[in-house]
Amino acid sequence: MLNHSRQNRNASYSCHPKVRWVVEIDGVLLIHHELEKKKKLGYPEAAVWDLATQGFAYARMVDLITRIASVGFREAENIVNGCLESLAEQGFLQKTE
Amino acid sequence: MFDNVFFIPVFDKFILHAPLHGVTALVNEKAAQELAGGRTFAKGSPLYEINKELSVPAAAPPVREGPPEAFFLGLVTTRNCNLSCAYCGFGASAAPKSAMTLDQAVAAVDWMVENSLQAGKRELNIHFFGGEPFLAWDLVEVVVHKARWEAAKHGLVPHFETSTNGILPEKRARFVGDYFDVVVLSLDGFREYHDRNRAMTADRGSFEWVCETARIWSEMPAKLCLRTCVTADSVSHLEDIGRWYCEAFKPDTVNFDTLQTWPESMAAGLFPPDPYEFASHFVKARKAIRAYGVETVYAADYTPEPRHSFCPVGKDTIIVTPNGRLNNCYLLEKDWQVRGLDLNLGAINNNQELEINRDAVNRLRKHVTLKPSCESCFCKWSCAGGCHVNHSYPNAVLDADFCIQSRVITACSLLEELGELEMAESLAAGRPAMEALSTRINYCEQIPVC
Repeated sequence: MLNHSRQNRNASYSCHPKVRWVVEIDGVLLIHHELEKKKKLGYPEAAVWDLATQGFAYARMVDLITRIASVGFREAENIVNGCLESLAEQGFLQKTE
Repeated sequence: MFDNVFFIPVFDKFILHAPLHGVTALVNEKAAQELAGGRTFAKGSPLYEINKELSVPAAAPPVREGPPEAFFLGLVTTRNCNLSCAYCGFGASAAPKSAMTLDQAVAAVDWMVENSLQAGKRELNIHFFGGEPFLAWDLVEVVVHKARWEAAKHGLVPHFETSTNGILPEKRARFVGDYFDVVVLSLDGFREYHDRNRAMTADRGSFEWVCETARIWSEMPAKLCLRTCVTADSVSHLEDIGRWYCEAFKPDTVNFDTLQTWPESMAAGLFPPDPYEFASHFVKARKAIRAYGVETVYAADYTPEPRHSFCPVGKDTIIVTPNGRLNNCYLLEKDWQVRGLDLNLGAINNNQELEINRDAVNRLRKHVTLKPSCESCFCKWSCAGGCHVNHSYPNAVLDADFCIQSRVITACSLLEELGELEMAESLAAGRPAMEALSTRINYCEQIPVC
C-alpha cells in the first residue's frame, strides 16, 4: 500500500467525461454512459469520490478523510488509495500522473 | 373576557384571532362586542360554536424542559466574507480570516448526532452561517460528509441549510446544490439595488455572479430561497422584483425582510422602508409571486403553530462560533451583550468536547416567554417579539416600524387564510385602514361601541 500511496501522491484524478452522478441520502450513484454501467458508493467511498472530483490534492484528501472517517493517517491513506484505484480501474475516474 | 383572544379592526369588521385555540373568524362589530363582553349565546346561534371553543382554556406552547434538545446545530464557519456589503452589521469585511477548526466542527457534528438520537429525532439538522460560510470550504466538505455518513449509520435523515452570498466557484455551487436541502441566497433585487448594497469591491458589484449562482441552483435539488433586504429605495419595486425572480430563476421561496439599521447602513445612505409602504408592497408582491406557485416569506409573519420565539433563541439551538463558543444566536456576541443579553450556552473545550451549561439553556428557554411589551398584541404567538437582540431585548421599547409592518402583514395573512383575499388587498392598499389596525395598544380589551 505504501507504493500505492507514493504513486497517488503525485497523481491526480478526474471524473471520466462520460460519467454523471446523483447524490443520494446515503452515498452517490455513479452512472457511466459510455460503459453503460452504474455503481453505488456508500461512505467513505462517496466522500473520496467527491473530494477527487472537486480537485482536492491527494494529501489534503487524506487529511480530510481522517476527520470524516475519524481514523488515523495510515488508515485514511488506505481508504483513499483503495477507492481511487478501484474507481480508476472501473473507468469512473481518469488518472493523470 | 377570554385569554389570548384578539380583536383586530379591519374596516367595519374585526378579525377574531385566537391563536392558542386555533380559531380565526371575521365578525362584525356587534358580534365582536358580544364575544369580547362575555355574553352567552343560545345554542344554534352562529356565535355559539365560536364562544364554546373560546371558553375552553387553551395552553400556551410548552416551555422546553429536560436535557437540551437542539433545534438544529448551527456552524458559523467563519466571520470572514468576500463581499463588502454597504449595510453589513456583522463587520464581516474587516473580520478575522480565521475559521472554525476541523476538529471543532467534527466534535460538533458528533455531539449533534448523539443529541438527535437521544431526542428520538428523525433528522440530523445542520445549518451554516457566516460571514460567508463557504469561504471555509474544507470545513464544509468535512461536515457534510461526516454528517451524512453518521446519519446513514444511525438511520437519521441528514438536513443541511445555509445562508450564502452566492460568490463561489461553479464546482462548489454544484456541490451545494447537490448536497444541501435549503439554500438561502442573498439577492437584493434588480442590479441597481443589489450592486449598491452588495459590492465585491468599491467598483465591482456582485449581481452577475449571484445571478449565475442562482441559475445553477435553480436547476438543482436544493430548495432555493431568494432573500432580499428591502430598503427605502427598493420597496416600491417589490412586485416587479418578485415577478422577475420567478421568471429568471426557479425559487421555492422568496423572502423579503427590511433593512436592519446599523451605523454602516446609515453611513452608506441606506434606510429601512416606511413600514406601511413595506407591508403594502409585501402583500402585493406575495400575490404576484403566488401566481408562479412560489411562497413569499416575511420572518415575523403569521404561523399557524403558536411559538415563543421566531428564531433559534430559546430552542436549545447550538450555534458554534469560529472560536469554539456555543451560542444560542448567530449574531455577534458584542451585539447581544450591548442589549444586556447573555446568549452563550458553553464552549468546545481543549479535548474537543462540547460543554453545555444547562442553567444557561434553561434560562434562555424561559427568557423567550417573557415579553411584557407584546402581552396584548395579536402577533405575540407568531412574530413572538421578533429578534431577541434587535427588537424584544430586555427593557426594549418595541420598534414601532417593525410592529406596524408585522401587524399589517399578519392581519393580511389571516384574511387570506379566511379566503378574504379582496379585503386583504384593500387593507394593504390604504394607509388609514393599516394605521387603524396597527397602532392599537391593546387587542384584547373590550371592543368600544362606535
